[in-house]
Formats: sequence, C-alpha cells, structure tokens
Amino acid sequence: MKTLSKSFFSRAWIGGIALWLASSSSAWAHVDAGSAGGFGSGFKHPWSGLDHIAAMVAVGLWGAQLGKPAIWILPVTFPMVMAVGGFLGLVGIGLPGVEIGIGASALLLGIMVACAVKPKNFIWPALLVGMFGLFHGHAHGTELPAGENGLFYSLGFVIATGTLHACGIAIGEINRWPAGKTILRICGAVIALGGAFFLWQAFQPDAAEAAAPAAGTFVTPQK
Amino acid sequence: MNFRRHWFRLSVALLLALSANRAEAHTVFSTNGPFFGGIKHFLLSPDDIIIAVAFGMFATLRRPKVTGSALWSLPTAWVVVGIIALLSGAAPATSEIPAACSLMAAGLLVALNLNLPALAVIGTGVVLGGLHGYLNGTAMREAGTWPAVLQLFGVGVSVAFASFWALAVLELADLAKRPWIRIVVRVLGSWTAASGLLLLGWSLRAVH
Repeated sequence: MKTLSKSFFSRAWIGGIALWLASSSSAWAHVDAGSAGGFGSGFKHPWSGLDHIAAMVAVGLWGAQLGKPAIWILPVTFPMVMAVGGFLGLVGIGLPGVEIGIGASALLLGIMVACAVKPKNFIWPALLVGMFGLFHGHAHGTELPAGENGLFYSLGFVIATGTLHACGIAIGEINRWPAGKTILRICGAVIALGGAFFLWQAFQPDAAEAAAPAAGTFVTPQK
Repeated sequence: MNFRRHWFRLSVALLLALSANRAEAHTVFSTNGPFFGGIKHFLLSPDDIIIAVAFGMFATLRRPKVTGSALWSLPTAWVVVGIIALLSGAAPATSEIPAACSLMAAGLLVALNLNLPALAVIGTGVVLGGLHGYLNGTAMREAGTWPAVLQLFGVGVSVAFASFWALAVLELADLAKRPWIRIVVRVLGSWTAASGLLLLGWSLRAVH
C-alpha cells in the first residue's frame, strides 16, 4: 500500500466535510421557513435531479483522476460558468436544447471517467466542463421559484454544487490504489449509462415529458 | 502580532465583547441599545459578512507585501460613508443589484489572486466599504439620527472584527507551509463571485 501523503489527508478532510454537509438532513428542520427558505430551496436544487448529481459528481471524479491542477480548476470552472448559465436563465435569455445538453454532459463526463482520459493540458477539459455548466446553470435559473430570497438561494445553490464536486473529489481519492482506479472507471461507466438514459429521455416527445417532468427524476418523487 | 501566541486572548476578547451585560439567551442584542443593534444587523446580513471576510482574505493573500493595516480601509469607509448617506437623507436602495455587484467583485478579487499593490488594496476596501456603508446608512434612517450613527458604529466594529478574524485564520493556517490553503480560499472566492452573478440575475429578473 502506498504511503498516504499529506495531500491525501487535506483532500480527505475537505471531502469528509463535504460528505458530512451533504448528509445532514436534519438541518432541514426550519430551513424552509421565511427568508431562509431561499437557502434550503437553493441548496436542494442541485440535488433535485439525478442528471445534475451525476454530472457534478463526474466533474469531481474526473478532476481527481487528472490530478493537479485540474482537480481544483474543474470545480471552479463548473460553478462559475453555471452561474453564467443561471444568469442567462434568470434574465430570460433562452438556450436551445438544455435538457439534451444536460444528458449529453452526464454521458460525456461519464465516458471521460470510464476511459480515464488524460488530456495533455487542462484547457479543453475546462472548456468541456464549462460548456456543460452553462446548460446546467440555465436549467436551474429558469426553474427558480418566484418569491425566494435571491441571495440565500444563490448561496445555497453554489454551495450545494461545490459540495457535490467535493464529494466527487473525495470519492476520486480511491484513484491512488489500483483497485480504486478500476472502481472509479466503473463509476464513470455507470454515470455514462445514466447520461445515455437522460439523453434518450430528453429526445422523447413533449407528451411523455409532461408525465415525467425533468430528466433524471425517475427515481426521486416530485414534491 | 504573533497570532499563534495570542489566538487564545483574541478569542477571549471576542467572548467578552459579545457578552456585555447579562448573557440572556435571546435578548443579548435587542435590549442593549443601537450599538449592539448594529452588531446584530451585521450578523444577520450574510452579504455584509461575506464582503468583510472576503476582503479580509483578499488582503491577507497579499501579505507580507501589504500589511494588515490596509484592512482598516473597509470599516472606516463603511462608517464614514454610512454616516454621510444617513445625514443626506437619501432613499434606501430597492434592488439587490449593488450588493450583487459587490459580491462578484469581492469574489473575483479573491479568486484571481491579483498581485495588487497596497494602495490598490486600500482603494478596494474604500470602494467596497463605501458601497455597503451607503446601503446600510440609507436603510437605517428610520431609527433616528443618533441611534443610526451608533448602529453604524456597531456595524463598523463588526466588519473590522470579521475581516481581522479572516486575517487571523489565514495567518494561523500558515500559507507558506500549506500552499493548498491558498487554492481553497481562491475556490471559495470563485463561489462567492458565482453567487453574486446569480444574485444579479435574480435581481434583474425581479426588476422586470
């Protein structure tokens, strides 16, 4: 077994805190009341669709596979560009094929992780991830319910996204062991399969989409 | 100041400052006058807290070239412009657009880790503090002039404390020994900028 380096512990700490944050469901007790309702709503939104979760965890997984500097550049690029997409969605600027873009992002990112694609520099991964962030952000921006406290919603939303990335990075830490490498690639394949499903769902006619509201919510029931 | 040696005293000082009078569970701030009302106002405003902490982190990332004294520009501008805005009788801001822009600016400053000289850092503090001082000052008009001034001083003290707390935390973390902490701070800065952008979009939507 390889010696655990210092960077492992620091990443483990960050990942552990992220996983702890993500599992603190009891903290929802009073979060939906009053102005804090915005934070709960914003925080829950990235978790509301399996397609969002899959793509965002995949970003963290791929970053962990690529190592530095991608490991922190990707989780910075995605939320930033996602905020741009969200901004466009909020002010009403349309983006064509959002659900297709979201499905494709899960599929492509899953393939990147499954094949352990290692590009020579981080520019085109950042571009790829950023492009998908645009679609995800736009979906969240258009889905923002009226009357929510904007600041809390934005903070909750960005923190949830970052938490998902951190979960992905924490899981990706198993990459340092040979068995872990294989497990990660299997995870990537699963995400890619899910992405293929979401993509297929996105191409279904509108009647079917009315029955199943958003891509990826086939497991979690709508409120 | 050697933070490692004095962190305990700093914590005790904070506790003492916040526990003036009896430490009644939920009335610490509501019955102790406008100064503590100002502290409470700050503690209940996430955008003010984020700005103060972000600026503190931004200035600390520039050390040792920029000294900690540059941090004073933020609370000073906050209080001075706040009082001027209060006395001018200007109407309170109705949209969150200025707050959103300042969040974006503060987040980007931290995220980009620009190598700015001391004067630029101080100037940034003056601009950010001035903006939020204006927002706070105009909003506190109904309290009456003198209570509002005391509230602004309460806010100013809290802002100073929050930004120096950020400096202390980063200094304790020892950026020279652990360079990955700089990356974590920059990531948090990018998230702050992202939140500001979303808030801007939300405000623009609300305006329509």
